[in-house]
Amino acid sequence: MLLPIISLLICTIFSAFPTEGICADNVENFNVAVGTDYAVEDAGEVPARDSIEALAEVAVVAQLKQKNDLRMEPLSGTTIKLEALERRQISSIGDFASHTPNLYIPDYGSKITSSIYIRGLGSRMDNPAVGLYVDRMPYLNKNGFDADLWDVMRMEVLRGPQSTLYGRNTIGGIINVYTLSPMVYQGSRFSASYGNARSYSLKASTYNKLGEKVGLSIGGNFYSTDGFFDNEYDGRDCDWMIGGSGRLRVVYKPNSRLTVDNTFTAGHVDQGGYAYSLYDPVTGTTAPVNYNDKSGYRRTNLSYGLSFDYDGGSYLLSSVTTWQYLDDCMKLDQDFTPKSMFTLMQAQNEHTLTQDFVFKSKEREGNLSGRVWNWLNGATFFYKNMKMDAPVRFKKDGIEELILTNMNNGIHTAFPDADVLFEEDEFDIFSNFKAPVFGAAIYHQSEFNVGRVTFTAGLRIDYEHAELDYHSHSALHYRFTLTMPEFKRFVTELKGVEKRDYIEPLPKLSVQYSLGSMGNLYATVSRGFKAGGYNTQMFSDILQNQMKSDLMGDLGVYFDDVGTAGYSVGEIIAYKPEYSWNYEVGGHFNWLGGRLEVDAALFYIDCTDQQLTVFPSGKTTGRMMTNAGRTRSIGAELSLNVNLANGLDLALAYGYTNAQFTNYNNGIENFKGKYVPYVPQNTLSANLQYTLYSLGRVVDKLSFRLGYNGIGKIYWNEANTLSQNFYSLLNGSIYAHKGKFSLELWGKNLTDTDYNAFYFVSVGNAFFSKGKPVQYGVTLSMEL
Amino acid sequence: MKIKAFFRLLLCSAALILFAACTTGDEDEVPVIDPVSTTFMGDLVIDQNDGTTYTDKDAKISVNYDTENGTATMIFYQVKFAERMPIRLDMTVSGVSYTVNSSNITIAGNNIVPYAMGGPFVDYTITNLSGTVTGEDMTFTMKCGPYPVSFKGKAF
Repeated sequence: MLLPIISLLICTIFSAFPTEGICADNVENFNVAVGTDYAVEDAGEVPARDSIEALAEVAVVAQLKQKNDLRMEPLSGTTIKLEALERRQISSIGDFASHTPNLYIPDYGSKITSSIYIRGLGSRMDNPAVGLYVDRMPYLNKNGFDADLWDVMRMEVLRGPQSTLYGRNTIGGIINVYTLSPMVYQGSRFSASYGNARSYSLKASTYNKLGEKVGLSIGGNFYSTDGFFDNEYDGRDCDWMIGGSGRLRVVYKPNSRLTVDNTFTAGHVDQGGYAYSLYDPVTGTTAPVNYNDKSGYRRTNLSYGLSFDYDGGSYLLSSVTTWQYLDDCMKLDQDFTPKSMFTLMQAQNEHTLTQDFVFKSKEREGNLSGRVWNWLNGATFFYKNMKMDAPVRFKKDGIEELILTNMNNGIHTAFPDADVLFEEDEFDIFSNFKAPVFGAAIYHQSEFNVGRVTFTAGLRIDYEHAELDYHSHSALHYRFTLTMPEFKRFVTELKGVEKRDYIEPLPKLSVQYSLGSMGNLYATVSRGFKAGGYNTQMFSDILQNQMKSDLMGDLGVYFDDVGTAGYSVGEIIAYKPEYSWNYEVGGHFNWLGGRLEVDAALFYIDCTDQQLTVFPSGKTTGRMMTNAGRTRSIGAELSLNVNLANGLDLALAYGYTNAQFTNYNNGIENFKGKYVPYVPQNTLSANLQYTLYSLGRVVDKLSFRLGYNGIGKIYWNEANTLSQNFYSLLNGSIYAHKGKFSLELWGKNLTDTDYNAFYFVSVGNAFFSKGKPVQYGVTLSMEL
Repeated sequence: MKIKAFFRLLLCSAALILFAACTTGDEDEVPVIDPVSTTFMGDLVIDQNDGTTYTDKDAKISVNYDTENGTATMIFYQVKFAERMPIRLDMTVSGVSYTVNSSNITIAGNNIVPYAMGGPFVDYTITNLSGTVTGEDMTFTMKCGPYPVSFKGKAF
């Protein structure tokens, strides 16, 4: 209750700003909305207030750094608006990705595992390759990316490095999400959905204006599913999930110059997940999900965003301040077998504070506007403080197979009848981390219009400081049967602090040629940067080795190949930043009087130190990020939106990526010429929708949608010995609307295609995560 | 004259001092090796009882003296007793008797159970330990279980 009060209080304070300015008339004539408010283009053509789809279609979102129409920019982007988002059942960035070229967010594991791959870049751990902004608020932690998105007015992806304007971890692009604003839409929305696997969801939201100056919206959702996979070990649902979220938004527009926007969101999810199946490399088959220790994920996240937008007539000044809190806990049967080997718990608690100031010239729309120079200056700061407890519990089978067998094999060669024994059936390796990160940047972008040609140049100087304070320790009792009649307490410990600083120049250069109403052509060169970091998931392996070494030292026994002595822990756990140069040419074309929109792009990316998640060889328990020497990615994107006939629309999106290692030797094997793993070579999406209007008294609107998704081929490892061939998913829906009500029957993966969504290795075993089988359901909605 | 008398007196005094020095030196100035704990590095040769020997080169052994009870402790650091032995061991031999002589320290021991791998290592009981330590050098022989062992090393 406190935050809404604070929000209103802040709005009240800022009402003291001047209500009229010297350029008030210019503001009235300006189409781009100021602040997170939304303007409506040519509002007179909007059919009716209750046509929310129509409102969302014409609404202009308040872009902080981009143009409202991405097709006017020298970049490859995809925008999907409210009606298409809802008809296609897009409620997460993962759903969104399946409708955009060269963006792949596989659905596996749990909501913590939001691996994003785009144009050959990406990794499943730590820093994302794509930035996520919801209502202009940046989400820095990938763990929070898979959030509930509802009442979304517009989602868009900008492919290619956006580092000049957005900084770190936008090496592959950014995803922007804009939710409905109470200043655009006033009304209430309700929906209830039920599907197979006892999946249901409820949503309710209301948008109101409190007078002319204040808009208030509040809403929430709740969902539950039994999941689609059973764990054969106990016969229970594996990927069950229950969760919900809420959003409160207060927009205050005291005058035509100032907009203050407060958004508070909260979300919680509790789930099983991790439907991982053991792969048999001999037969090439995967076994059913079968593991004994409970696995799951729980997450609570809160975020608050406060933005001010001031229209100074010829300039716009914006400030976006965000605070985010993420508290999550992942529990894993890390061997994913019926054996009692070892489990992992990873509990994080993170606070993030970000601040972005943008000062830009006002008229940035169009390159034929007559303005010679449009400019944008910005300064940003962030601070992120993460605390993590990540105990690994070694159980009976794990102690035997992973530690004692290895240790005693060596001892048996000298003393065949002697063993090292542990008194405990289970013991924990505790690991505690503190990882404060902060950064600051200044950036500038200028846009020069010379007739039909627009030159854009930008530069950002980005500074980042990252720390890892680690403390890993364990205690147990051991006995060497040859010499020790009793068990002896043994403690092993590893602690230290690692620090890294980065200063990165992030330039961008582009040229665009306007074809007038036909569209435009562009060429862009830009540099991308993805921050380095630390492999916290390697600590159980490091401490295991340390423990073996220390224990042998305690016994006075020495093997040549055991222990951490002689190398730096910092060198093992730290990985370097990733850099890329992106060269791109493309165009946006409008034909058939605007009924056909085509976007095309060709790109070449030269990436150094590409971050890869790898599984260390042997019976290791962790996974780590490493830097591949160099990769290159060549590809193309083609998007097509066409109105084939009255009420018949086709949306097509195709992406091709050929990403290969040009220099990567892990010390065992040279992977030059191999494809970068986890990157789909082809992504294809097609949506054909046929809509009928005013069908007598029965329905006002009836639409049929047929959707197709094709993905692949995907290689799963650096050696390219395992792969998922191209696979196809068929989706569809029938939607009927009458008055305030609508009913929709929908289905996903209607052909029940069997495919693998993910691959990994643990303790020397390979596992696959299957894609979800057929899903279907019905949704009843009401708008008041 | 006075000068000649002074020199005679000086010479007599010097002769007296020299005589006195020679008589006391015979009683007190016997050279003694201090029992200072020292680490030696050298070759540890183990007779494999099959007609061959194995030499652990650059083996490190420290001798620590306990002057209160007159025993020494020998610590073998990461030593290896056979080529086929896949591991190296720390081994402690306590209760070694020592005698300080005029030019060396002699060490000796018999039936001493060494301590290794967290406890007493009965199978490799030390017998017939005999050796000498000078300021810079140590040599000894012993039997470690059934295996004759010899060492010759220099202070490390």
